[in-house]
Amino acid sequence: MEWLHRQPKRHLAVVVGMITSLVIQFLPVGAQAAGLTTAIIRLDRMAAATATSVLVCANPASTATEASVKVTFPTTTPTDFSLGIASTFTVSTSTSGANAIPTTINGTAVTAWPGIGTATNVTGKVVTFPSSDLTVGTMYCFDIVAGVTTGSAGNGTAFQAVVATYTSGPVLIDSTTVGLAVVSSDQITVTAIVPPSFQFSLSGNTDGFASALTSVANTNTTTGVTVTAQTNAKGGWIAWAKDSNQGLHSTTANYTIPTTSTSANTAVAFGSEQFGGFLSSLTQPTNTGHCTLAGLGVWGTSTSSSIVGFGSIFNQVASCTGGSVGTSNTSSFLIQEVASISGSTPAASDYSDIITIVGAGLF
Amino acid sequence: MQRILLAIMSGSLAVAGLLGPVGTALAADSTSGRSINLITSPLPIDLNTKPGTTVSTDLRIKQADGVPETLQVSLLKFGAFGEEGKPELLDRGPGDTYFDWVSFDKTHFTAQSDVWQTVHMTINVPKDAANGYYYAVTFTRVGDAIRQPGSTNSLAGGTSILVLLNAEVPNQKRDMTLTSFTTDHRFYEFLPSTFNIKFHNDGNIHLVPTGDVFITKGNTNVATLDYNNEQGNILPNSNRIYTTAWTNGWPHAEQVLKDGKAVVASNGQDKMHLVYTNGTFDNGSTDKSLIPHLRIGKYTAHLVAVYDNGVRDVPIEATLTFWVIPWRFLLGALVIALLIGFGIWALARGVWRGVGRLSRSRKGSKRR
Repeated sequence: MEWLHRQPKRHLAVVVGMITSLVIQFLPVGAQAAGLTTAIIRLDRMAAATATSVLVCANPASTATEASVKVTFPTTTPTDFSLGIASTFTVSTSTSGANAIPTTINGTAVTAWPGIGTATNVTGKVVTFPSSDLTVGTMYCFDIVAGVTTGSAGNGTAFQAVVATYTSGPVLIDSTTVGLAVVSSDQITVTAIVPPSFQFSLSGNTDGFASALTSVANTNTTTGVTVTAQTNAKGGWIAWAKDSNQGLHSTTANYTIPTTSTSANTAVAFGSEQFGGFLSSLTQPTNTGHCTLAGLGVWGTSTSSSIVGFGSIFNQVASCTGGSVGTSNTSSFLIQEVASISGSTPAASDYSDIITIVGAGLF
Repeated sequence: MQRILLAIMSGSLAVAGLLGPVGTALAADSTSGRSINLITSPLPIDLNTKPGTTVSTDLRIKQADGVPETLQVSLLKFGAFGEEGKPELLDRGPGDTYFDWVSFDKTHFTAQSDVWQTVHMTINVPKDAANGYYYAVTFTRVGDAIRQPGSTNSLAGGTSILVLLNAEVPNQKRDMTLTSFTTDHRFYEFLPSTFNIKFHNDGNIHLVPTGDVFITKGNTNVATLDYNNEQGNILPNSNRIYTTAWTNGWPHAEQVLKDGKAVVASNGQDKMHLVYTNGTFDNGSTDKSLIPHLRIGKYTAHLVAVYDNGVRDVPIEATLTFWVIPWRFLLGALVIALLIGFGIWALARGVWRGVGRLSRSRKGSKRR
């Protein structure tokens, strides 16, 4: 104790300090807020100066009874967010729709935040929402539908937000700071071109008569070829047909059974020479206005049948207009040829014709 | 020996001579009986240029036959025919020297199945060219348009891309008149009502009219209908009819469908049936948005059409009126009203008679 006598004031201060330190160790410590086990704030739009909905999730760490949750948005100028009045902060806990909350987060099931509702207070950048009691270890989420507009772009400490739960006191229970980021642009524009196109097909390029031509039967038809057209042109499509021989021609007999009128249907008259065609089995898609078979002829089972000649120039045989939705999905029709002969038609086994069918999308 | 050699040579020639046609026949017959499936894009093509310049465009063609095909390119022209002004495909005429302005980087080529081929079309427009020239570039399969053996007809299928060339010169006449603005009926029981708008191009270059039909009832606009959204042209000195339909009514008639296709009635028209809802939403609930749109009474259709005359947009206007009278609904409502009225009358009469009887019986009891 000799050193104490040599420098009494100095050493007295040291001793007091030591004793104080010891006493402090045993003093009762005041309650402190814990951090939430998990806290998430997701801006649904990260672009600067953009109104956004916000997903808020929290997994409480403390057992106190929650009565409210406060979300503090970034406050530092010019990065601070713009907030509406309390009534604009509507919320959603639906799991479907534009403001749906997720069903799981990192494998943890999500529970709709109980008691959450429209904000009761907005002070500065702090928004207070009502809440019911939360269970420790459960992930709760809600979505702030409206009321939030991001500030300028950036990240770092100036962009931190806070999720905090409070008792009815209100006394802080749990609080966690969450980093946010705001970017100048958060969307990409996807552009694509669907070019107008026209598809045209024939089921075959040959069409033979099933049997030798006669002057009395009404079955002198070919089996037919199905013409199919499809286009996304709003004007629809049109098809024309042209006959190269203007009739059914035989090289060996050097004779042509002439084509019938190309401008009007001609009644089939067996016993006289005729050659022409008829169109049938039109199918057309829905809501495309009207597909029509022009100058189509009508084929029956008796002499009421009529045919039309194909002609030496292109004549329209079918068309589909665009109609209400402006597109013409698959349409099709059957084209068949008909011929009859007279008693004096020269015999030959090579009567044939070449018919060209061209289709185009309409302008 | 010489005779033997001559015999061999002549024999070879004879065989070659026989084989030649056979070989040709085989080549020509190689597509016999086969289907053809051609796809072209774009369509149509609108080219604008000055006389004395060259303009070009790419034409794309794809065949989907599953095997390689040899395709060929040929050039036709098109005009407009009939009152509706539909395109008419035409062969080259004697004076059509503008066919000579056109060249293609390839006219015959092998196209693999499902692979787009690009054909480059170049038009050297001479200095004395003026106004519109209308080409139809046609793609067909080589070997289709040949005579088949025996009594078998050949059908050669092809697709055509329509190319509209405007050789821009000063003082082009861009003029158009409205020939008629009509509905298919003056009286409708239910919608749709269809409007036919017929123009005639009085100029020397193709024109595109656009605009709307405004449907009003009294002073209230109840519908606005677009027409010619597809920007369809009217060729010079020809007509074209554009149609637009007003369908938004409760109920309204729609096409009858079978297997996703519209059913055509025996008269050639689409089979129709009445529709009372707009179908169902994804969640299965019925879309009842049509129900407030019961159409009844006199309506006015006001056409506002616009075309560009090269200097400014020129408006064309026309108006017509039509009626929508759902007479069966009205008749049903009248019958119901009459029944209710009769019921009320019968009830009132019964009550009146009952009161009368009660009154008489009270009087009788008082007398007693």
